[in-house]
Amino acid sequence: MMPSAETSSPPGARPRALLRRSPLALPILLLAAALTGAATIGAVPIPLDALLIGDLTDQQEAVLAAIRLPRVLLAAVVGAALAVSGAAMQGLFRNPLADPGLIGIASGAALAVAAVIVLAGPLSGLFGLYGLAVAAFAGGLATCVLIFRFTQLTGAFSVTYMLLAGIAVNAIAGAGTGFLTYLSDDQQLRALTFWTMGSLGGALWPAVVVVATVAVPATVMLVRHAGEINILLLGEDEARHLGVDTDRLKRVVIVSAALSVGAAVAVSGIIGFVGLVVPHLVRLTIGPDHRVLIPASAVLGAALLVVADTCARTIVAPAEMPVGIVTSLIGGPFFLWLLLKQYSGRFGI
Amino acid sequence: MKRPILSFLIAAAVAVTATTAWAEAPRRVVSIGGAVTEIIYALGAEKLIAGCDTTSYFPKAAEKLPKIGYMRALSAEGILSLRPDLVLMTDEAGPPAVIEQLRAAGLNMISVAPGRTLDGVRENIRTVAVALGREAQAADILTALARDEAALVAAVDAMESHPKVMFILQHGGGAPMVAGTGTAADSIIRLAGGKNAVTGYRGYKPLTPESAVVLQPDAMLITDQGLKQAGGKDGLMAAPGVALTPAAQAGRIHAMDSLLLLGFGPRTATAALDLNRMLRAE
Amino acid sequence: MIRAEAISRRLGGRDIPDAVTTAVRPGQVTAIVGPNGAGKSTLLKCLTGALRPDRGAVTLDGRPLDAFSLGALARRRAVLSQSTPVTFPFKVTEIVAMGRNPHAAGPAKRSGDAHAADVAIIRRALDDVDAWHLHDRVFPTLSGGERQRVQLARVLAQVWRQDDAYLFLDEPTSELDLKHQHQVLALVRTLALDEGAGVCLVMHDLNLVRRYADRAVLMQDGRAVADGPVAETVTPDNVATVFEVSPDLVFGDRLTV
Repeated sequence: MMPSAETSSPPGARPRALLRRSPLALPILLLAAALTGAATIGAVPIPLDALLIGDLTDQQEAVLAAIRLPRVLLAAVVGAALAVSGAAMQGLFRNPLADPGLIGIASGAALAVAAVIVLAGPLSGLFGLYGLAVAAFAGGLATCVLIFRFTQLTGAFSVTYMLLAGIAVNAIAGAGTGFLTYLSDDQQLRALTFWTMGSLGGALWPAVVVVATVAVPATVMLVRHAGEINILLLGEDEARHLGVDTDRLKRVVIVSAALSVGAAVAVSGIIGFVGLVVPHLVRLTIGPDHRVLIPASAVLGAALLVVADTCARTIVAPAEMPVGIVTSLIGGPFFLWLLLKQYSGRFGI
Repeated sequence: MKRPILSFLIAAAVAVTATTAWAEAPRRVVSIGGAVTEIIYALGAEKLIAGCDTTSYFPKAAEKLPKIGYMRALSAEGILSLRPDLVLMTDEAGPPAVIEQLRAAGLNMISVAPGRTLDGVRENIRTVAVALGREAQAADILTALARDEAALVAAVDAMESHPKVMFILQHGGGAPMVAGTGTAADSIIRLAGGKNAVTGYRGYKPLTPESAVVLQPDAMLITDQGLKQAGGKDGLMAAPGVALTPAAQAGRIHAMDSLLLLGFGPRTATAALDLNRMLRAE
Repeated sequence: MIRAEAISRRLGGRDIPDAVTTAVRPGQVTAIVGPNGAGKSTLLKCLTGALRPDRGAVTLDGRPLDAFSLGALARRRAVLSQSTPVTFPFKVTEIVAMGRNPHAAGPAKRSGDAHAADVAIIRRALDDVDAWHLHDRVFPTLSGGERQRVQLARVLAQVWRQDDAYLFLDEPTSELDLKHQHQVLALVRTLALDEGAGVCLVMHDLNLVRRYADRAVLMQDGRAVADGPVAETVTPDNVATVFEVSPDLVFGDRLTV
């Protein structure tokens, strides 16, 4: 970002100027508020004051340690992973509407999960509760690798080919999932449907650790390459002329995003809109520079999913709503608003 | 609310078919629904079955019968190709358009409501028996059922308290799918002298793990199939919230075959007795 | 000097370029001219290293382009491509700052980060193309000509005031008004004559070529049919045969600028 010494602020742009000086301050504040709120709200009430002074009943303590904290933290990590991958994908495809779905993670994971639920009755007990997670991770990455290989077969490693290969492979995976859905009985169909709507209900400490182990290095990797992603937005040839090894950069971005989204999808099913909307929001409020966009998306994505999941597990208690429904309910209207804003010519100004 | 109307319709249907069936007893029957097939076997009429759906897997011999697919995703031509002169089916069979096509094709069709009580089971046994002309065999089954029921009532009356039971339909890694009110699981739990731990919603829904702790179930009930999917008792114990319930702390996690537990067929009274024994053993 | 030695590239059953030997010399403005589809842009891409010729070789100071790392090459030559759509709302200064990327050292400054020196360069580059007044604008909202000038400023910033620099500009004036066409071409000519930069342009306007270029490479069907000083290559005869138009359109008194 340019130093602002020579940049005269237009009138009325003070909040934005403030955001530019410390762009991560507001997102971090939001995340802190979301985490605090999420820790206190739930089926077992844990008042903030009791939490702060540590005056908790045994049940409150047990619920906090075994259920709520891992869940809230998992929501944060998954939200961050999805938003960061979305930001990186949008940069890679030079398209603000791109999301990690383009590289097949979600469709491949869904196909693998459907296969386990519908076909692999005896096998599903093998990994116990992690059966679906393992299948989702493997299926998502396998599909991504397939798209990647097809793209390389075309000779040039072009994002356009990748997009087209992605559409085709996604369609095939979708057909496979559809066929398995057709074969499924009631109970399997229910399991499959709920999986595709996402849930953080299975949050356990190991899941938090696993996703964080993948998502944190991937995010660091993307932040390190953020300047090059900026330059890639000028065009691939331009980026190479500016000394950026675009093939390597594309590989780094795809592998980082695929691993993070794969891990996120594995533990939480498919949660839509976070990867699309959060980077958009950051671009509108803070700016398009990936060196800020990626960390800010991580923080804001975490905050958004923590809030959405808190809604998901409280508004219909004792039952819970699939969190994907909540994020889409928030994300859908917001996205429409963005489109309107974009078409009325005020986008980005 | 719907029951009386349904019973009336069924009675009417039986009356209509009974007159035709009197002259010519059915010889090729397609059976749709695990409980319906069980009843046919119990009546000793299995030789009449030309085909059945995939939920018909008890007794074991039924697995070998020609299959017409899953009961909610039937195809009209598949059923017609078996040239049945009678289709005996549960109300849950579908899709509705296919059922309508079968009716339009002039098939003789009798449907029974999914049982939720022993009375419902008795009614279904009678309906099927009349349709197949096996009233004599039905009388024997009903006698045995009455005997089991008496034993069950005595056992339930003898209970000092009615433990809270949580039924987990499946646990695939997210939030567990748990039975609320108005479900077959709710019915069998109450029949066996327990109370459903979940009264906050109807049907099967994902239960937020913290609620499992708040609801304090004394026992957990799951199908064999569901337990296998969850990775056995150890797997289920590791799921969020489960370990913090009194049920898990006392090791009271019971598993039963899903058709036996939820099918409401001829074995339901013995299934309820088994379940009652498990609950009392605590 | 950047030299192409008998380079050919197979493209859709034809060789484009077809055994072209030419050079871009320091201190001179070389224009590549020719009708549509003659292979001007493809030749330019081969000279910049964006495309690899199937046969022949391109060298910079006697070393094959392949022997340079992307970074090393980026510190020697800058390229302005024909159209560069940027859909993300970067500011003009952020775009120009990306030109300094090859000079950034160390991971912290891997990317377009501008130090104090860079800030000055960015300002002067924008000034040179008469675009400093746009510096706080959002790039995608600019007009076509404004965008072209800002991209040119980025390219200038990339090899700012280096005496060993090469500039490749593919139709740099295609969207500019008359004033800015002359301003920009005068600027690159100054860079060549005063700073010693080697400049290579793809141009359509032969009047501008005659006015601002030292040398011209005349392309037809992938081959270089003429290569030398403008006065010897952009001749009425060549214009008539290569462009299939009356030389009067270029050389007629009334139409000469």
